[in-house]
Amino acid sequence: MPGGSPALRVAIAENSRLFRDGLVLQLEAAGVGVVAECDRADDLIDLLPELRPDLVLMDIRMPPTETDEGIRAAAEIRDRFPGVGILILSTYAESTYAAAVLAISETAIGYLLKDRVTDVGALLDALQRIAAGECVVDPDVVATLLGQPPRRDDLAQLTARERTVLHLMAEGRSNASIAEQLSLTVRTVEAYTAAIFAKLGLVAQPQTNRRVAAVIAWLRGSHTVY
Amino acid sequence: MRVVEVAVPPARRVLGPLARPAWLPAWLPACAIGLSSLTVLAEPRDVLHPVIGLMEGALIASLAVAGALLVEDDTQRGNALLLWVVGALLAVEHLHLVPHSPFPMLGWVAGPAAAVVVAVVLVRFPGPTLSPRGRRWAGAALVVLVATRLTVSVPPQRLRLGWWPALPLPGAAAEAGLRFGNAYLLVLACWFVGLMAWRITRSRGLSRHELAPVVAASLGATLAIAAHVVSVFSGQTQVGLGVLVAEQVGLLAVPAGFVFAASRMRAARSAVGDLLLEVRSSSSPTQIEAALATTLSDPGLALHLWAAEEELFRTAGGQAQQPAPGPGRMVVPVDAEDGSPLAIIVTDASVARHGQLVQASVAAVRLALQNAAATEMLRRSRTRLAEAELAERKRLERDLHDGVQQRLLALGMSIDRVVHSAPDEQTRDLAKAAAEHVQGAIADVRDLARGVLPAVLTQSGLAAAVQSAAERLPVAITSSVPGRRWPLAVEATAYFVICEGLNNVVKHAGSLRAEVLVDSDEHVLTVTVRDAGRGGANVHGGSGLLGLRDRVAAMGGTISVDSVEGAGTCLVARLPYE
Repeated sequence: MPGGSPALRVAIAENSRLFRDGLVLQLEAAGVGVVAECDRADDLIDLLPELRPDLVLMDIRMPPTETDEGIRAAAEIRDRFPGVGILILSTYAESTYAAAVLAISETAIGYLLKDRVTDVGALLDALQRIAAGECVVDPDVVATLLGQPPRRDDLAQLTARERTVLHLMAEGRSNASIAEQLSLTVRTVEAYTAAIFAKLGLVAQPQTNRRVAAVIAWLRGSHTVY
Repeated sequence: MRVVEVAVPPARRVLGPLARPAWLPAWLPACAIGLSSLTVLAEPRDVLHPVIGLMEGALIASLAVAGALLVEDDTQRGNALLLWVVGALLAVEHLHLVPHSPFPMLGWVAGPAAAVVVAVVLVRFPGPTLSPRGRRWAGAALVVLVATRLTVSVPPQRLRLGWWPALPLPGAAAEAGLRFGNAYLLVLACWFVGLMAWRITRSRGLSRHELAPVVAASLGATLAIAAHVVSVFSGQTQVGLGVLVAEQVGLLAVPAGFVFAASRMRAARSAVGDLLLEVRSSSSPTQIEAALATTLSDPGLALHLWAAEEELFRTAGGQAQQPAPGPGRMVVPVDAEDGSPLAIIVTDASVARHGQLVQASVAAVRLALQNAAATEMLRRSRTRLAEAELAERKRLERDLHDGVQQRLLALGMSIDRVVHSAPDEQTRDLAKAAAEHVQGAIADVRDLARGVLPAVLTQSGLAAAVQSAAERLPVAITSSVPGRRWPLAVEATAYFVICEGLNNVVKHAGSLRAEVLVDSDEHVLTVTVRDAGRGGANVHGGSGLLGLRDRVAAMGGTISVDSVEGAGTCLVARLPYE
């Protein structure tokens, strides 16, 4: 539990009662205050002016159409309430949705698999990063994009360590966070990221959030979709 | 409006002359007539020039042949018989110099009689009979011609050859009688030309097809006779050899015309065979209609299909329309074996005479329509199965998403709380192990749901689904998929084709690259999966591709695999959609 910082206040839109109840328990166990829980995204949006939570947690597939309500609601929330962080919780490990979420905004937004909430530590980490304005992309989505073995020649020429750094970059980690995870110095991580960008032919993005979208787009970019 | 309903004769001898068991006897009278052409030898050379004699013999023989060809058609027996009669009359004509016998007299009238009989055949052909009025005219013409030939227009030198019922006319009167006979012949010839011209303009379709060579021949013959008569009429006693040869050529055109017409009739009958072949390979109603129009030589032919569920007729093009046969058109019903209506053919009433042809055409159309109906039934049933399968996949995916997945997630969260609140190390370790199993189960169920029907396909379409599938395979895939949507059943089929194609690349091609192309026009979605690997695959090998073929066929589509050993594999599926 983070010491000192004021408790996060979150609102939830999720139509599975079973999952929502579990999620509320997990959040409360982590010291996060749940200020509202709704079945539908539009109900949640109606409550936002009054409640002003730090974050909203939303499923993608919700009534009424059971398709991509969560992503459409995220765009509306970011538009109308820019100060509210957004975390999409999804059962789909699809880069398409992650890219759609990153396309809405470069800050304080995230796409996580619902699996993550079974680890309260990982869930809290993601919430805090989003509250701090970072982007969060689920590690499984990134792993799928990176491929095992790497599908692309330019990915294959990265060293194992460089691939790990790329993976963490794509998850939305800052250089400091990567350094901490890998027990390296920030300077070393910077050297790695510079090398990676050079090898992949990417324009270096000094800003952490910018580079998440750039890396995800690059990883998805082998497929010409028009 | 007059609609002719024809009673189509039973399907006896559908194949025409070939199926006729005893064709030989038909040739016996023909042989006899042919041999009778030898009577030209009875005429001395100074009376009958050898060239003309040869041509006259050939005329009799070719009439015998024309009759033999026509007699094989049931409806042409009478005409064949009359052509043989003409041949016999011409043979008798050559016996006119045999003294002290009935032949001088018979020979003198045989020629005009033959002309009348030929005229009868020409006027009624290809019909089997004359109208009552036509019969009266023909009878009158025959009587007048024979009577005048016997009584008034007799050359004096002939009277010496035997008994003759000639009237004892003075020389000038006899000359006038002769002239009258020739003039009468000329008038008849002109009238005949007019009649035939009128007939050909009135005839249509198959009848016209058969009539045309005969009309052309009859005009030639008439002109030849007219030329001869005019030359005699103008007072020339010795007709030049050239005129005689021209006359013979004109006369020979008559049997030639009938031979030609008979061969056209045969061709028309054999056209049913072509019709059967045509409608078997192409069973769309418009194609059946076109093949039928060709077979029955009626470009205006219309096929109206009976739509049993709607209880109305549809045109071959599919429009609901009550058939409205105009004047001179007839309706031929096409019924199933149990008597239920399948279709009707609206065609020219003149086709009614070709009973066998119509019967055979009806049989061919029945076969084609029943085939088409059976194929359509099969297609619909396969489409229903495919739709049911897709609905089942959707239901299963939704159940997994709403049920098992949420329950496993809730379970995972409960175990996580146990991990964090367990009083002792041992419990915590057990709970952590359980949490890992639950994580594994959640991932398994997610993969299972993806395999059943990826949500990204139903929600975001084919492009996103192909991208997603490509991300999960260990080969580099270049794809080009339009971002638009198609009916879900089409998208799902295309998606499974692509997945199977890519799986085969991974498993068999030994290639690290593959290409996916999706392209569509307004009606067809085309999917191509290509690699540059080992090749040597085929659509019949492997249950995966076979299953795909069934799935694609159920959508009314096609799938092909082009895979040459060592030159990669190209899988192409075409999926029609509306």
